Amino acid sequence: MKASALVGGGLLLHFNGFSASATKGAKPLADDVPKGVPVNAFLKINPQNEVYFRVTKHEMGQGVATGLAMILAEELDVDWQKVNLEFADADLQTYQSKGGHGTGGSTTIKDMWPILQQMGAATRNMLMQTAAQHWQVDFKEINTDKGELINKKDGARLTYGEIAHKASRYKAPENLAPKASALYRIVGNPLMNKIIPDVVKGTYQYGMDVEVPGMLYALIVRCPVFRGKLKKYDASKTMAVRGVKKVLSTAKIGGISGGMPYHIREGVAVLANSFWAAKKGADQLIVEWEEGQNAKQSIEDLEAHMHQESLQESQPTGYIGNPDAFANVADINYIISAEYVYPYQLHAPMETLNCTACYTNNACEIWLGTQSPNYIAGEVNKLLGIPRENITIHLLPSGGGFGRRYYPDVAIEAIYLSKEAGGVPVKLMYTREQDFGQNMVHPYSFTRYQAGINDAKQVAAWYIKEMRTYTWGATFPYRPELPWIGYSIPNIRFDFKHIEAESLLQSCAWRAVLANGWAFGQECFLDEVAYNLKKDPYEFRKELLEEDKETDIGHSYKISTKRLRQVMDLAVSKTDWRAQKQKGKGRGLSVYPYMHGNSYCAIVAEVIVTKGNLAIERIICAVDCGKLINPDLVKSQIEGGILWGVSALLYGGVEIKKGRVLQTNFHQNKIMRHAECPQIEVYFVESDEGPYGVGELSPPAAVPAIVNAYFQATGKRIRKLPIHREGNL
Amino acid sequence: MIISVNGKAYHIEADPQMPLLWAIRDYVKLKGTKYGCGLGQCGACTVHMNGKAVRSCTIPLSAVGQKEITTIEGLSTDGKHPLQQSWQSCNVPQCGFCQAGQIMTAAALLKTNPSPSEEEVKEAMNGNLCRCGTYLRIRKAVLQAAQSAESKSN
Repeated sequence: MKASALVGGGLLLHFNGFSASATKGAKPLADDVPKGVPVNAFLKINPQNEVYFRVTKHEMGQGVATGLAMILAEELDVDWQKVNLEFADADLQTYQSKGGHGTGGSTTIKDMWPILQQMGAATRNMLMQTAAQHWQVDFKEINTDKGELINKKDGARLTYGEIAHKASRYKAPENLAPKASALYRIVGNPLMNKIIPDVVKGTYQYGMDVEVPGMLYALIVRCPVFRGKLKKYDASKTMAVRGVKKVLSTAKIGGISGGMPYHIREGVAVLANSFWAAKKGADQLIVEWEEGQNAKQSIEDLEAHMHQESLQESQPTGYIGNPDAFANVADINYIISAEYVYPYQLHAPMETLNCTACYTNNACEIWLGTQSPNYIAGEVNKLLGIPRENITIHLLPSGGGFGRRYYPDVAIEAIYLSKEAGGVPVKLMYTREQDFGQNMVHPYSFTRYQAGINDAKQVAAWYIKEMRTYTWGATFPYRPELPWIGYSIPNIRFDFKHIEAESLLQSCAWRAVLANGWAFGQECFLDEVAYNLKKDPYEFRKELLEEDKETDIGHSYKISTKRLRQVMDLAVSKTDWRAQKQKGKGRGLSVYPYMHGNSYCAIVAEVIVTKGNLAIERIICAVDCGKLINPDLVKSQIEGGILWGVSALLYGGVEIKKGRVLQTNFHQNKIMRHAECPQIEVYFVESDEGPYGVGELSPPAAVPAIVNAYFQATGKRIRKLPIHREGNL
Repeated sequence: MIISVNGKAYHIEADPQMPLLWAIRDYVKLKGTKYGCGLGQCGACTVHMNGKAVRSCTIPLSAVGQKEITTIEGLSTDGKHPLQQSWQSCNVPQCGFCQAGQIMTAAALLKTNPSPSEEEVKEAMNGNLCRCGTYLRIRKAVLQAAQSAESKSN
């Protein structure tokens, strides 16, 4: 869909290890490049000296397209104004060893940093070799300056663009030393996100905006109950709607599958020549479902069941110290206990799910925003039998991914429809009502916390028993692990129970994933323990983080008390923590890392409660995410993540009756609006480590900070989200 | 049916009940105006009708008549409306999907109230949702655009 901006000549950057045959859809090489050079373009420089950076990761609002381009541009030494973004088609083989396309877990910048540094430095080196040859001088006589090559002997200059087509003759050197950070001109600066000029003109293209000649629009009426089945349908009224072309069952592709499980609800698809005709047709469908057992369940039933279950005996799945500390340690004086519920949550990306697909002769072409084209290719191959190499995936940015766009379901549905419709291109869309009512969600988590207090008024044992509707099982690399607890408590035990079979909805990744429930319970319960011990919640945490140590919690990164303490001290230092408490006002603290991104975050929330109404006044956030590639875009992620958490806290959760989600649109599943938005301040711990991940860092810490502030203001504990639901206060 | 979008007339053969949003997107083929909810809840589809901000997802085509429609693509000829500039200098968008609607709402506000207070901005923008959480920057960018337009006219 995107025309190549490279016009004649220029450099297609090639890297070692990629064979020509593996590259599908690669642009032809310039004539004078010798045959056998590996072809894959990550980067193009045209004769006008404009640089085109290929975005291989999914840009879904986290700013990675710009962040990644900055890393490359820094090492390449080009003029940032001349750097352009190009959203690449998926090339699963070529990019596999270069960070892949998969985007999630706040790992993009962290993982791509060394790869792009090398890529930029190697390209610069190749250009310098070319210039040395051109001027017939020693390599040492060549320098670069913002996209130009300089002959130090006589001051002669050439632009990269002028000789770029010749540079690919040279072998890309490996293991070059990256530029010293003192010389950075691009990295570390608050530069504009490169997507914005197109966004503000309405010309930035999302999956939703794709048009393929001759395409039909499709909507699928899916079973309103999770795991329900299609019994029969009557499409006579639908077919009478002007513009409706076909009605098809999707029962054949329904069910749960995948290494990271996802669920396709059985349904009936309406294909029409416009969205509106498809919608009118879908409204006229008469469908009968075999709704199954879930149709008898409400969210309250699930909760009551989980409460019972939490009282059953269980085995530890991970522990530090003595897993039987509560039973065996003689010095436990008393035990504090509480239950926390982090409910299902809807993703509600502003761009609802969609995929445009065209199937022809055991091959297909698709257009969408996806966090994992690799997962799509594998599942489409498995379920529809199309060979992986026959699947062309055009990657577009999306209007919000939040983990939901990691899963291949919408692509499978779209390809299936195109195939069943006889190879007609199909644009499958979700309405907002379908996005809320027939979708996958954040897992439901019910957790019992216990703290064993000894005679010295210290926490001697900490027990977490969590029942959750989703786990990553054997495919998740970090199992078995503990929730991300860094406090110095001698005995910690985690009993995890997977309750997928009891779930009323299919769970999946949702921004910050497990850390949401873990941070909510841990940081609120710790606050409860502090008040129980009559200790200031900040001083109490300081005691538990006093000693410098790194704890192995079963994750690939260890958790550091020092980094936790540093963000906490920084956040608290920006407040009047010790000021006299005012009536109706409260201040709360929480500290939580995001281990997949290896970053740390502390939040202090200041709230006012008047007549039971909570107003969040001010949020102070301290972050340690290593070095900052683009401080303003990082700040933006932290701000957005906090509001993400606030929406979940105030309005989130999913109401379910008779197996059906009751929220149909934004009037029932509210998200925070402009007028409610608190002031947010973000501070950074200075660091030369990293860079680490930030996309999912702040949502987990935001919720407990506000809940703890609410407690200070009112004396009431919130142990279940959302606040604005009856009975949760 | 003939509708006028960004100063151009378009002949559209479609159900008169079809919302204006789909006429703009699927018939006029201007994709900058977004579908977010179809119920006037989120503001992603905001366009101007005779200069006023409206939700194009809830206005049937039959109600448009002779009224002049302006979309994000028609907000300025050069992409340099003060809001389009302040959106860049404040690094407002994250995913960007709601931002055309945000800008169109803000542009209508500045037409009737060229120097709004912060409270007035909050109130005027309250009907436009942003899932990425860019509200603080939107607020700042609207105020900045108002200021720059004012300083230009002085």
